[in-house]
Amino acid sequence: MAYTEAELAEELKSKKYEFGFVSNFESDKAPKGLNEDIIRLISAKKNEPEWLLEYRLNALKVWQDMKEPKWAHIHYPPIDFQDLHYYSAPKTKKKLNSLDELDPELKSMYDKLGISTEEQKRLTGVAVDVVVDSVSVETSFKEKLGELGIIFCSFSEAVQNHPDLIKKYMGSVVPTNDNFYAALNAAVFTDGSFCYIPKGVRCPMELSTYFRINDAQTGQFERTLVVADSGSYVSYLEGCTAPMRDENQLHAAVVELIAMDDAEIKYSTVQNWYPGNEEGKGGIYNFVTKRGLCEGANSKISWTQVETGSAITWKYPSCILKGDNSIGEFYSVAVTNNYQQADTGTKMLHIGRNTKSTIISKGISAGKSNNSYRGLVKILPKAHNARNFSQCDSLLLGSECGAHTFPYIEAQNSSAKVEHEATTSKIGEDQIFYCLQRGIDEEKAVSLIVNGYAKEVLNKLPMEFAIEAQKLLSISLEGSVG
Amino acid sequence: MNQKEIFVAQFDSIPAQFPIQGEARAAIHNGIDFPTTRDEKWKYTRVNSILESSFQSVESTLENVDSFKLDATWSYLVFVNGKFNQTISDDMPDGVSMTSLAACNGDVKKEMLSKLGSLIDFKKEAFPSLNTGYFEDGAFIKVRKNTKIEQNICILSITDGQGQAVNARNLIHVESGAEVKFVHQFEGLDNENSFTNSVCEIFVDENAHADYYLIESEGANTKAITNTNISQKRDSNFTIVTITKSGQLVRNNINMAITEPGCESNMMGIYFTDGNQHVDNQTYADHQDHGCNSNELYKGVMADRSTGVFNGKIMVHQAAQQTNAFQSNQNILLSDKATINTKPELEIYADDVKCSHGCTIGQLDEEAMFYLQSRGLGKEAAHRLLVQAFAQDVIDTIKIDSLRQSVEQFIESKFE
Repeated sequence: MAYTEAELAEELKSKKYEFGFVSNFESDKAPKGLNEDIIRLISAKKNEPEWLLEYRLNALKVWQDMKEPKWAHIHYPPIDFQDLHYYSAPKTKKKLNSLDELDPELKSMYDKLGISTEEQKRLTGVAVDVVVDSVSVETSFKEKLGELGIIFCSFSEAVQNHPDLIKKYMGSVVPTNDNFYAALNAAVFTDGSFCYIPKGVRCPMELSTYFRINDAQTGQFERTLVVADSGSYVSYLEGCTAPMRDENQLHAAVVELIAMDDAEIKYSTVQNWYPGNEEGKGGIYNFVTKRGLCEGANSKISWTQVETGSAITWKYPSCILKGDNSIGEFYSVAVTNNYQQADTGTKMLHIGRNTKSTIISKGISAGKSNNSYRGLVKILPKAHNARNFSQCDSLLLGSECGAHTFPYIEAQNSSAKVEHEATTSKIGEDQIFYCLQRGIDEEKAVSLIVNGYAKEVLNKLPMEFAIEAQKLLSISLEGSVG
Repeated sequence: MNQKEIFVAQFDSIPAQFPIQGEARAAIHNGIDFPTTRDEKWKYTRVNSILESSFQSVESTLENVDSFKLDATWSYLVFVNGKFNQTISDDMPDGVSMTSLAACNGDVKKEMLSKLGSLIDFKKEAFPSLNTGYFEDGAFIKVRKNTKIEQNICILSITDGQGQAVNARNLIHVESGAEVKFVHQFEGLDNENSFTNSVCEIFVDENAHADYYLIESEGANTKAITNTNISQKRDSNFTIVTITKSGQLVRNNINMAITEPGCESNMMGIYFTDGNQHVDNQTYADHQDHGCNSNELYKGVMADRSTGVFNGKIMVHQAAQQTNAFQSNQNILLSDKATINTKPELEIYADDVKCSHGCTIGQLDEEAMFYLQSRGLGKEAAHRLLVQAFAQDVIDTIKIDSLRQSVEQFIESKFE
């Protein structure tokens, strides 16, 4: 039987979240609420130096004076920030030297995700730093990276072992007072990843971190810092899946990237947290601040994201193009279904001369979801010959969903060239007809078109990740992709 | 008294003529605040310079307005400092009835009051509220059913005198099947620090066909805020072309409500700014029903220290299937001190639609410049030719020949 768009929409409606399961291991939890004592507790638990505690306490003060942002095109019941646990760690506190020492329960969780660490180690050569509920429990390939002088470890380890680097770079791209959620993160962040690539080193493998939110009612506050020194290159992968839970969970991460002269950072994300059920109940609230600073000349930062999960996505990976000739890129596929809401996009700030940026955003909305692109391209007066190209396309599957575009373009230099294009459409009957005419049945045609629609972005993902991304995309769009 | 109260108090001596004016005054005295750059819609435009000004009411002695007329063959309705001047106005052509708002009575008044303020939210937005509360006069124009009006009608609003504040208010009703072209021209004379606050509500009935050309030649130091709100019924066709020639601070709000199927709507505009001008165009195409087309094209050239702002929004409601909505905004920056802020938005809740927007910021094509120069044109001339060519596709949408020529001349005059 021919596969129609109506059927695709129907399937999208009923498609269940496949990775929903809960691992039962005990958690070491802080009491609910957020105040100075909690901050001191987190800091003490992590055995942090005095300056970091000061940093957190200052952030708490800043956060208390800030208001929750309301401008995004998303609606959700008010969050009671005092009704959350701000710290939870798996009970295993012991540092592990080999996988055998790993909690079997944790291990089986990885297996379900298909990222069994030894498999990853052996087959793909990817170094995986698995973060489960805020505490990094396992790091691989460290020795190999260590030979090249690359530092890749959990944030708390870095605080202990490389305090100078952390002190120098933490908050330099996303300052504490940047926004409400960044301030919250700065106050209560529990762990995350730190990566430093020394001068002239090309990182030989894709660095990867898997995030999971496991414990119900714990906000997860990750902090990632990637510093690429002059002439270095690194490709960083971040992937997320979360188990099925009814209560909304809050996630407010901060990611900071810094690229020095001639350095390049490629940051790829696949996000597939629990999006809530068909009635829009549950799901992750994802409020993330991601920003990259092209500090040096000829540096490059590239963001690629595939967003299929979360009940609410509020995320704007940005580039500050400070160095002359620096390049910023943003490639995004955002899929929303049922009652999901995504408000995502990017900011490109052109400060240096001859800076270039490219924005490709592909939104796919189905069910009763709303998908918004919100972006800013700003050309400052000194950014001679700045160049930007933006393309934001939206695909609507079903008559009850929404697709929105809110691009801000501000130019203050007469030599700037800025182009912005956006289209919104459904799969065209003529497109289907063209395929049918050439002997491609309707199911394959829909699949071909949706696939082709997102290809431009999927192609930007590293090989190891592209497969995972397609797998995750298929959760939302099975029947049309693959 | 805070700044708002001091500002509004300047208007309080104007007598209220209609109940609606009392409501609007209450709204502005008791609740609404004037927008700041923290309001999303006013992010790029500061109105402080207006709120800090003090205004006076000037008696105009203007007796001849011929010098303002772009084409003497049109029928003119002349408003000087917001008041209708019958002696220097023309009679309306057959099929068009015009009553000044202040002179309305009987059934006409009833009809006027049923329409006045129905397209604009004067209880939420400060400037429309100020206008509604304190307008002194305006035109209520009705175009009779199924008549084609060949004669062009021009509402000429002249501000005469320094520090003059004018709340211009107009109401236009194009009945079903009628066809008409309006020019709404704002002129300023000796206007150090004047302020124009205009609201125009336009009702376009079934099958009607109306063009509305907004020509702004305000005084160099005038601040102007215009609100044009349109409601279109089934199978109607409406075009608005906004040409901003002068004015220190100009803000144009156009709200197009496309309420029934089969409509076609066009919004076009040219802004050419220099000095320290600030021109802000906000458009809103509200597709409420299915099978309508809207088209939007705004072109801007910014020189010196001037600023251009464009914010276009296309809203497609769930019922508005088979909508085709296109929007384009193109800008040229001629100076490193000039700024353009543009925000073309789409908000779409229906799936069977074709919507797109595009926006560009750039310079004159170097190759084209070289081509023209290599053929003996001076740099200036080549420059002028290219800017004219850039503006031409908007100018071409003007269907009145004499008006089109005057806009072409205006572009040319910018290079003298």
